[in-house]
Amino acid sequence: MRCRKVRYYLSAYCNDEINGNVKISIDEHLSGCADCRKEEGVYRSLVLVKPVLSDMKVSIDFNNNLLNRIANERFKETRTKAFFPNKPPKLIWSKAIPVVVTACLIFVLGIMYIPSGELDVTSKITSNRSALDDSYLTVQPTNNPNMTIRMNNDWSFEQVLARTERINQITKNMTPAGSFSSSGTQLAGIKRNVQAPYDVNYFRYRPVIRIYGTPQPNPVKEGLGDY
Amino acid sequence: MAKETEKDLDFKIMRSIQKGDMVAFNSMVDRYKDRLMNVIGRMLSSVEEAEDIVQETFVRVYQHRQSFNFEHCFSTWIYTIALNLARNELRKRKKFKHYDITEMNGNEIELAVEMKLPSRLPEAIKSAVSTLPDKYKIAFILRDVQELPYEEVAKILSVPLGTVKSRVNRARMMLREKLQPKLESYNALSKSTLLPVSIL
Repeated sequence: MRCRKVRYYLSAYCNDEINGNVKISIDEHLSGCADCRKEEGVYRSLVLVKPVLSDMKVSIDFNNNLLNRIANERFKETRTKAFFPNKPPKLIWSKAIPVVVTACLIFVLGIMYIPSGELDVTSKITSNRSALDDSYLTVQPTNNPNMTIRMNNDWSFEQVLARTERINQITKNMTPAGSFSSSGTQLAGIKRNVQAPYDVNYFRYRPVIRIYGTPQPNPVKEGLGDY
Repeated sequence: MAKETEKDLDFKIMRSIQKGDMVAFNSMVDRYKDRLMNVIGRMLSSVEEAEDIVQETFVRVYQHRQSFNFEHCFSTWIYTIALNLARNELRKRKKFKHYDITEMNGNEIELAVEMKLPSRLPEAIKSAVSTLPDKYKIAFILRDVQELPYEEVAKILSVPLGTVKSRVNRARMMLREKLQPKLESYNALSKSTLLPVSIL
């Protein structure tokens, strides 16, 4: 083996990384070559490199600093987990983009193909006016819930007057003046001798629910009256 | 066999760390902090920055402890994390160039004088190693200083085994060229007397 080849292998040889025939050849060469032995001595001195290059040490409080930092990281992690216990789903754009595009297409096509009349809400309401509630046309006297007059097309004052007269007659027969006294369990009273049908106070007391307690015989007043 | 024991011990500690044992984590830090410091410190040539990188490495190890794969060596994993962080730091440095204030005063000649090898052997070795190109320097430190097997160095650096062997050999040859006069004189002295390296 020549010097050049031996020197190529020399560093590996000095670090015991060569075995077999190559090692035997180098051994034979070194026994007879002073220059290569000198080289070998230099390579063997490179073992000094290891202790020299192993002298760097971390600072004394390295462990404390590190553990403090990890404790801070863990605290942050815990706090974040308390606010966000479940990891929010990650948006995958490759899946989201087709969905968004399809939704936009459906929206645009829908606008294009819907007849224009369907969207005209005002005209629809106007055309179906008769179907709507016309209760706003009803006039209700504030003092008389019974006197409900519907403002129909065939409304006439005579009809209303006749109806009122009928009610007046019926109520006059049913509740004659003086049929109820202030005594007893009468909850609502009726003014005596009220005959005028247009007296608001008269009509105000018509829809009365009377609740009686135990009937008390009143021989004086019972049986007396117009009927 | 000793390496197997180291590996088994790493796995045992790592299993404890995965269960949340902070004492085990502390012992792992003690095992690796100086080794990492010696590698990263040579790469960055700044003790403070190297220490920050080592700390960040252990934080990453803790954060991703559950994702550790027991099919691989722990040392491979932690060295890979540390070297990646150091590479990122070096990349940042390239983006933002830092100018030394001494360069602004026109002291180029003095700086050139300082760049010569120091007279004492330990400083000469450190200086020679620092002038090696990064890829040779890392391979050399991992193999010859940290004494990792070639296969593990290849995994850490993500390069083929032959490339690692070549880089280590090239680094040794470069160092031999730089340190030859110093080492020859050391050899000559050490034949007659047994002197410690530090006083040479």
